[in-house]
Amino acid sequence: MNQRDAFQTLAKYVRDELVVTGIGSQTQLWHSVFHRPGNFYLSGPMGLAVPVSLGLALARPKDRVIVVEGDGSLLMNLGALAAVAHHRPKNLLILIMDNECYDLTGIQPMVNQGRTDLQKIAQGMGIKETYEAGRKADLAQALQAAQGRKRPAFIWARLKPLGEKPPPFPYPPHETKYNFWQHIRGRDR
Amino acid sequence: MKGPASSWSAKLYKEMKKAGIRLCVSLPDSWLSDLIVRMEADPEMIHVPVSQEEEGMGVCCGAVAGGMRAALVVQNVGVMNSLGALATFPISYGIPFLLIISDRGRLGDQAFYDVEKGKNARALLAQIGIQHFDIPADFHARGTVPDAYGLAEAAQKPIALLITRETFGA
Repeated sequence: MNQRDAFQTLAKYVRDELVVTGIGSQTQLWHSVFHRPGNFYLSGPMGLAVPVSLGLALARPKDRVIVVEGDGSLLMNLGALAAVAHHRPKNLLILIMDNECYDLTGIQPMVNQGRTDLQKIAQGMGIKETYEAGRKADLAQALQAAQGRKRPAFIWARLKPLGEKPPPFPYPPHETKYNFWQHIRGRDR
Repeated sequence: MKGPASSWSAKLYKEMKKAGIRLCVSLPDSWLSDLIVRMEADPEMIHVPVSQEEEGMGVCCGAVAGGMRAALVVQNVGVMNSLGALATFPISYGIPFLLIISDRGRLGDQAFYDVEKGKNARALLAQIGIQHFDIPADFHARGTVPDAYGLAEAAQKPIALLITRETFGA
């Protein structure tokens, strides 16, 4: 399973969830696979998708929130997992795309290459509902299993290299925000 | 919660609620300790303690994106730690919230480890385009906090309010 496979699997699962994507290939690929109004695409700040999704999940307890973040970005703000474990938002699902490298910038190896178990890190931070997925079927099963949960869930998707350059993300930040806020306002009407 | 600290922070907290803030993210400073106790004790407030200021800024942006007013309550060094994230996220996207900052390292502070914070934080805020205002001693009479949130929303940018020794009359 590569990153595009994982996003295509996620697209089959997503219904009315709010989906936050981390910068770079998370945003670019998710936009190309399943652009929809409930997506909040990050394209500037690295390492903030999980904190952003926590704020969103706490502010909107009736909506389900999915955050898709890369392994490099997750490691930039690991403490965010402790904050998630502290608040236990049952409407938050964290999906980590782990390709063990900085794929978008030329496949530079990640510091975690071959050594770091992100599932155990999440568990150690206090997140109880965790899954590991190396194949599309595993990911589909994990997404399904996480659906009826009563606590935050964490899926560690272990990926093969993408093998393509993701298409560029076309929207400037203000437009991204405006589109998402319009969607949120529409839900509140 | 006794003494002068509890008096001004009780008023400040009341003003934060008057401004419609329903989610507060915090990282401690001794000037902020009483305020943080109030956030944690209030069932109407979502209090998110974090381990890094940049992370807290992300939580605030997520809450605001979800339609909830938010504040990041940190020491001024937190701004210095978060410059890149502030510039590339709430400034770049246009996301309004309040930074409520204990402005350490100014006249009256004697700790060597605060000096560089007091010397640099205001200039760095200005450099990345975040307007900042000192919180005056009579902030509760002036409506400083609700006004600041109003300005943040008008500007679609974060606004920083600085807690100084004048704020609590020291």
